Amino acid sequence: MERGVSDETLLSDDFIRQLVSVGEVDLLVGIPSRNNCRTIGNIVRAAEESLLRNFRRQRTVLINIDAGSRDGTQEAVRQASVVGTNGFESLRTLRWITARTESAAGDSAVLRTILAAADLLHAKASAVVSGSTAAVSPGWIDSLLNPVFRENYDFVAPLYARHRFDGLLTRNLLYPFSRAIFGKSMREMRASEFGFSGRLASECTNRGEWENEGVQSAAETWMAITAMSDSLTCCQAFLGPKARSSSVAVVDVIREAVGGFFWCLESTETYWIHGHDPEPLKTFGPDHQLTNEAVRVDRKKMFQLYRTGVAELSDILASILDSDTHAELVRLAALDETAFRLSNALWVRAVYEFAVAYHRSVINRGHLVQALVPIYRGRVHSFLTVHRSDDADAMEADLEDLCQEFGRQRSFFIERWSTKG
Amino acid sequence: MTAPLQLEWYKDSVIYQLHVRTFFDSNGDGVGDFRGLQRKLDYLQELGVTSIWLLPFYPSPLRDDGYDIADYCAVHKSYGTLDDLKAFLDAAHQRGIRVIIEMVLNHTSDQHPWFQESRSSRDNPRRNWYVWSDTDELYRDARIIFVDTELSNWAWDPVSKAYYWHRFFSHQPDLNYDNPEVREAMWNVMKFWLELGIDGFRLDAVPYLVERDGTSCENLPETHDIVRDFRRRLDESFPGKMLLAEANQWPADVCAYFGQGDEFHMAFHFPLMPRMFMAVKLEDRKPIIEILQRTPEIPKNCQWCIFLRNHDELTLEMVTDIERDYMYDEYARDKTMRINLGIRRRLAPLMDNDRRRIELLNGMLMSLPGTPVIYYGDEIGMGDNVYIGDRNGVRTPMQWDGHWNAGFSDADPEQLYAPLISNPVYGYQAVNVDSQKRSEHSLLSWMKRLIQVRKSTQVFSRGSIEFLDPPNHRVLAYVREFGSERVLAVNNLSSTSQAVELNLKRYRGAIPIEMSGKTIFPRIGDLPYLLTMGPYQFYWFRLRRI
Repeated sequence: MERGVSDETLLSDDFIRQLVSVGEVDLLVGIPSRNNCRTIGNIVRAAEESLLRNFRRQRTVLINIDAGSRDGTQEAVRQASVVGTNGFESLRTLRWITARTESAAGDSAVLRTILAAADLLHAKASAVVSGSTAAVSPGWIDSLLNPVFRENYDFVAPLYARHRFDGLLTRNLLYPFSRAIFGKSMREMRASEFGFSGRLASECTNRGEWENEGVQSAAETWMAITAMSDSLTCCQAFLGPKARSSSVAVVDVIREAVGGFFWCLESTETYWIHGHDPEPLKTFGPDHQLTNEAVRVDRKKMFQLYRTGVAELSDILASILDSDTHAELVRLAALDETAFRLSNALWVRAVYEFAVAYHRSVINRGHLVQALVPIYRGRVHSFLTVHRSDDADAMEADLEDLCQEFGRQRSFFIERWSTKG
Repeated sequence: MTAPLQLEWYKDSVIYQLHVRTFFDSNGDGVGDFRGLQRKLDYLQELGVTSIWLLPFYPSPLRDDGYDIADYCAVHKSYGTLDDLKAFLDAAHQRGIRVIIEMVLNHTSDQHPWFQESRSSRDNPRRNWYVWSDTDELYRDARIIFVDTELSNWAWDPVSKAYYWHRFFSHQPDLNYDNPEVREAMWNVMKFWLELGIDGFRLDAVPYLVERDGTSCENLPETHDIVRDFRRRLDESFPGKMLLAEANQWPADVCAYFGQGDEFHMAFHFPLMPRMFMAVKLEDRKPIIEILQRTPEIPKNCQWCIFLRNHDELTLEMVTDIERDYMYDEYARDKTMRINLGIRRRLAPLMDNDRRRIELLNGMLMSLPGTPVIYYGDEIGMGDNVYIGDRNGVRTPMQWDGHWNAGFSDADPEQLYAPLISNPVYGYQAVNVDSQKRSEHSLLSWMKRLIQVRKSTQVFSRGSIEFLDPPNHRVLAYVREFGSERVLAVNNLSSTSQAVELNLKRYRGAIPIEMSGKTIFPRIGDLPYLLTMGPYQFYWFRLRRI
């Protein structure tokens, strides 16, 4: 019976045995999965096709690390693999490694296992594609591997064609914030698909931060920030349309993504605290593409949640935010929904103050991050209202304004961050 | 009556391929000869080979290294006389070495009297001995083999004002095998040599004997009929003599040349050869396994003939376009090294003179199913000269010692039929028989031991093969089995050390004994058998039950 990847040693004996059999590779494609039997077959076929069609001379391996699926995901991998090699001539044996992990560290343990494999197999270029991603094409794998394998980049962040109201946390917080701090315009830092070099795999594998909650909750973000803050070379590659992600509770997303991001800020402080000139990021393909299908959004409910959240969390917000900021948020909560707008300037200030409060641990960090939820809802409400009928260009222009605002308030943020509170 | 085991001597053979011209010059004219070759028989006996395959030695204008024969029943004067050949043949037989000669069935030289008569007039009785046409429109589906030099398979003959058919060079007109007189004449040629005592023929360019419009003019049923007829006559009059086919085709097509055991005794396995090189470069067993799995069973009295290098280019006809591109990029990046659809290089330079890789390839050659052929000079790691024309760069004089002309000839160096290899790496001062004889660790000494081990059992020459499927694809492992004997061969195709777990449950309880050092390894149990192997290392284990 296949043994799991244990907590104590991360890599099980069986996994190591498989690594030994595969030996050194040029390219690695990692596919993390958990109950993805509906989507993973297509990913496996796409990955195999990419490797067999475009990298037929290279030594390659596909790795599926499954986080305890109960829906036959691993069987789907096996079946798709058998079918997938048909029709493509390969010079080499197409190698597969499969393993399961039951680790409490969850997704980070999966990523860590893939990174460890890339490190141990000396993979020159690797790509990770989430088993849950629908509509992955072979081109995605090519786009994630090629910049690393052929152009020596260390990290490839993805770019997707997204619905204009999708990925709002990224558009409103993670991207503009990280761009202001790290000087690199990486749009999709928190991505389920990305490419990386052997150097980055080795760097991440050997860091002693894996047990930290920040890494465990946002390992992909941590990896991207490690690349940005470690003077490694980063780029972006356009992959194509990304299906809208299934609805996940906002609270969970904020806790993991923003909490993880704040933790990363802290751990990379020495890199960014003295400032970096903005650096354009090489982009392969278009740098954005928004789609415009009609979607139903309950803005009224969102405003209600903002209003009640700001009221209920008033004491907590008062300990996190400056009094002016807090007062302004409270004032806005009293407005009629039609008059409510949470401006770029206020949003940026609030976010920066949250980051500083996190840094100072003014309250329990978990609670602190969750207190951002109602404000984020208010921001999303404003975003949806303002852009209700905007086209892609207008939205892009507004995003640039928001980035500029994060940049403008950067010195305020750094000053507050550096002040012992 | 001769026992079948003896009749099938070719299965147990280790063949050494050479050209008389290249081996040893006894009379100081700069060209190797039969008397010289006879003087070197002790060397070949010591090396352990059991058969010599001679490249064409017939009178010839030598525009295709002797494959353009002008007289089938004589010896080219540069190589000696028929008596010299007979003396060599006797001496070889005295040493237990058999002699296989080349027989070019498909075509003659345009200088052959048959062709001269044939072209002389349309009424000449030999006119129909060759394939003539008033147009060059026939047989258009036949591919051109020498793509670098020939534009058509038809050549215009200004003498008889007609086109003649040639599958190879235009100075090599194809014989017309639809003419019974031609078939009879060629059988008489073969009979002449068989009566002289030769042990077998390597029949050149077999697939092309017969032409039919609307076909590829290769492997036609009529060609097989002709081969069967020759074989029947051979068995009737000369039992124990052997026919070896040169048919550069896919295994399924070549298999047809074994017939029901009533055509050829042996045939070269052309597609395997480039795949052995590919597997080592890819560090992946896939190419070898795939081609051998695609190789059909052959009749019991037949045998594959396998080789690493020969007098021709490393042919890439039997690979896919993708594989060919890969081989060119990896083994012949310099375009000078390429000729036709292949690579004109010897084994050692192909392996970057890496002794470990040379040994690994020879190890596979000696342990995979088939009779192995060693190309002269490869046993000492001779180099090549890609700057001399055609494939002559792999046909340079044998390097016997570090002295005058490499010990090959007393002639002036300028008089030699081809320049010696003289660069610092592969030159005769660095690579020669004499120096390698002095060292137990030389490639030559190693080759002797390898051949000795190969010959110590018939399991390699006659045994079945079963591939193991260890998870480590860099390791090629198989079990050869003949009667109660079993040998496990494990080859690390990788440039780095490898660990491999072999599923040997079937052989549980057996003790692996490494065959070169006779070292005992731990008994095989229920668990996967773990071996660690150095870069390009290979093991042969006799599996003994004690």
